[in-house]
Amino acid sequence: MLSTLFFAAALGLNPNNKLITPGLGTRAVVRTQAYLVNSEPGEYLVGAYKNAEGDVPGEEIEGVRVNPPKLFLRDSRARRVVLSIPTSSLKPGPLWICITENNARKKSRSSSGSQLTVLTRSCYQRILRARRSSFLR
Amino acid sequence: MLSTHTARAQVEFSPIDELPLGDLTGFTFQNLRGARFEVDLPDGTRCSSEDGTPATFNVFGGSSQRQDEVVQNSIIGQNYSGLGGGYGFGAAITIPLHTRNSRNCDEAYALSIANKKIELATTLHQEGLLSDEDLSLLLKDIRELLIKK
Repeated sequence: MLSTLFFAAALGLNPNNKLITPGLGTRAVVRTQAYLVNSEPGEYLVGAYKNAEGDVPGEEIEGVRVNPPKLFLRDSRARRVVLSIPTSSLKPGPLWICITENNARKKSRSSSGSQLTVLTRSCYQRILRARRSSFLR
Repeated sequence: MLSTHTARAQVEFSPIDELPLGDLTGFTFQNLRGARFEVDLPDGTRCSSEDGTPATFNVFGGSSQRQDEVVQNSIIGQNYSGLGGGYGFGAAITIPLHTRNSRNCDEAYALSIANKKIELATTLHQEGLLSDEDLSLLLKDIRELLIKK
């Protein structure tokens, strides 16, 4: 059955507040939760991406720290996730936060035979606000 | 009155608990309670530790207005004089043994502080206000605390 091949996870980001405000430091911190959506347990990756033309996720932002580094989701239990995004190379504006199934795991599972595999990724757009001038160094 | 006893003297005193010692004064220069330490732990419990009585130095002095009633029937071979009143001074050093409480809260306190430090350092690191090196140094210190005997 095709539906059993889908692995989907979601992030519990607040849909009513899309703004990310940098704090005192050089990084912007996003605290959220990750959970499965009608899917089997598995390992997932969380990352931040720049906004590309057409308002879609583009290049991955480098130097993003994600805690926990290995995110394994099971059952319906949500797990806390913290992203620490370096803002020095970013301009204020839209960016994306995505949760993706771990590609490496999936490859190893499908290497034994011909099988259609679909990687799922859920992305959420957020707007990085400009740093307040009083915080600029 | 003749005594039938073979005692050399028969002397009667009033009971000793009636001695008027109310004017005896003493001074203590230290608190009689040992050092006390209390810490609230993150799991909602509280650890408290109190040492035993510390060493004390006491000075006391005073006068007694004792009025002994002496019925002296016969005193053979000894002299007895005075009514028992007078002055008294003294000093005492008390050194209790084994008062140090070995089950203290030092370790619980250190772990509690370390836990808070990690929490704060992690937040600062996420914000980019603490470098990887600084965080690593702190965690090394805390590692020492965790593995020490």
